Amino acid sequence: MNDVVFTATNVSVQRSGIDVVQDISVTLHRGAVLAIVGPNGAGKTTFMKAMLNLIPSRGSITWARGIKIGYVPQKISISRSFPLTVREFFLLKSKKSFWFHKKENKNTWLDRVGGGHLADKKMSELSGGELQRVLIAYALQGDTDVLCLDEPSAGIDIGGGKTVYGLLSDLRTDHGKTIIIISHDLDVVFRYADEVLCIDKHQICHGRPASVLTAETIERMYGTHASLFSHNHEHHEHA
Amino acid sequence: MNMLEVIQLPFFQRALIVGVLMGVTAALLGVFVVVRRMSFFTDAVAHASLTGVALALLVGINPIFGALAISIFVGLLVARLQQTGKQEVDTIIGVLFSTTLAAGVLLISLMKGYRGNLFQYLFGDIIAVSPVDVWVSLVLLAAVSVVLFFTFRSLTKIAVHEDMARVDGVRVGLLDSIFLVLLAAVVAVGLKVVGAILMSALMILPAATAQYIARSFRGMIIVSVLVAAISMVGGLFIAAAFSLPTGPTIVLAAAALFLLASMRGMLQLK
Repeated sequence: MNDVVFTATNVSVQRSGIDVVQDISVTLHRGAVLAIVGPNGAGKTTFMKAMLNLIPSRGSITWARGIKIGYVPQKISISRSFPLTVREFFLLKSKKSFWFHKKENKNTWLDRVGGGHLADKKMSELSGGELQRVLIAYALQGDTDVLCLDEPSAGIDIGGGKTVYGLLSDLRTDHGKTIIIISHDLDVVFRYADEVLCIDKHQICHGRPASVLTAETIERMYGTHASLFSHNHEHHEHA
Repeated sequence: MNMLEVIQLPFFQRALIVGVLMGVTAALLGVFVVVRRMSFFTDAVAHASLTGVALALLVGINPIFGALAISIFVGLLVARLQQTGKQEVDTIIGVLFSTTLAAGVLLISLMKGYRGNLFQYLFGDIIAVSPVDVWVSLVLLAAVSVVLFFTFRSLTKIAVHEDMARVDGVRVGLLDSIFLVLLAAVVAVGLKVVGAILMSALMILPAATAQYIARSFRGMIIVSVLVAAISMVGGLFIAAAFSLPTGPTIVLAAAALFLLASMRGMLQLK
């Protein structure tokens, strides 16, 4: 639990000469769930892309040696006329032949996340929830250590969102995966995250959700209209 | 002259071989052109090749090299301008499409004397292919097949999502450049088959037809190659039988197959 898998020190990202993310520092330990929160346009996705080295950034980003990363982007639009099946999608990451392979779903990540029945469907025909399940399974294929998810419940209904978060919770408890997740939903943060990183272009807070997500930090991120109220049955505070 | 006599003519046999080889090569690349939504880009590269042909004829070098150079240049320019993020890619392609075509027409007007040679590159003349062209087509198909064999998974990953592919370790920029060079090479060599104006059809039509029929990506590639071969052979025979120009007849044969497949697609929707 104490192995550090990722460290970011004073990470900044510029676009057209303007800082869109400024001086973010965070350390993540193996098996932990880190939630990145902030209002729209706060730079959450930009920071995640900088972490993954998808865009240039300043500062220092260090991943532990040999760490395997899986990424599930916020939006993926597969053309309806692209007939790639789910099984073929997984073969892209496998050493099995793309052209000659047995139809086998047992003990694959797709099967483990409850998506085995989707194997012969076209990727473009999946519902939002099914697609997220498939993308998470794909990101996990190949002994992935760290799963990075950019708003996995965006664009899917409440039931689908709950299923996705339930799945992530299982992945953490049953498989010890380290998870970095961008979310708008503070309820999700309180339920599933060990640590939260609050950003609004610059870093507002970082630490355990119950400790750092105070009325003051929420107000700094979302403005004076946002406030906290508590649910007795959850024993947590929510925005 | 009946069809049996025609098929025994060496130039017709060469045309059949080059047609099928080029059709299959274009179809293999075309699958990725279509799933990556690069059809308009391919059209621009093919039209830009005309400028290369005109430029090469003016300075007196092999037009294929001129077409190759300008196609690669335009492709790289589109990629570079796209990276700046200031314009939408279809705007950039639209600007370069018309600019290169205008430059090509202007260069043609500067040429003195008979321009029959140029007409061949505009609309293709597969009947005029030489034995060397057969070897060039064979080498090109082999090169494209080998490159696709090694890059197939990565190119498909890019077609699904570029950033996911990058996280998987795919070198997107390098693969894009390789794909562009292959695309330009197929356009340049394919000029003799259907010409610059119709070249992109050779790439897009088989893949677009296969999309209506295939239930998987593997199926799309197989159907696409078959459609290309059938439209090449069918188009050549129809052109020979009715004394029609070969390039447009091949493209219309492919378009007829597309129409049939799209009708099947529409019937399935009902």
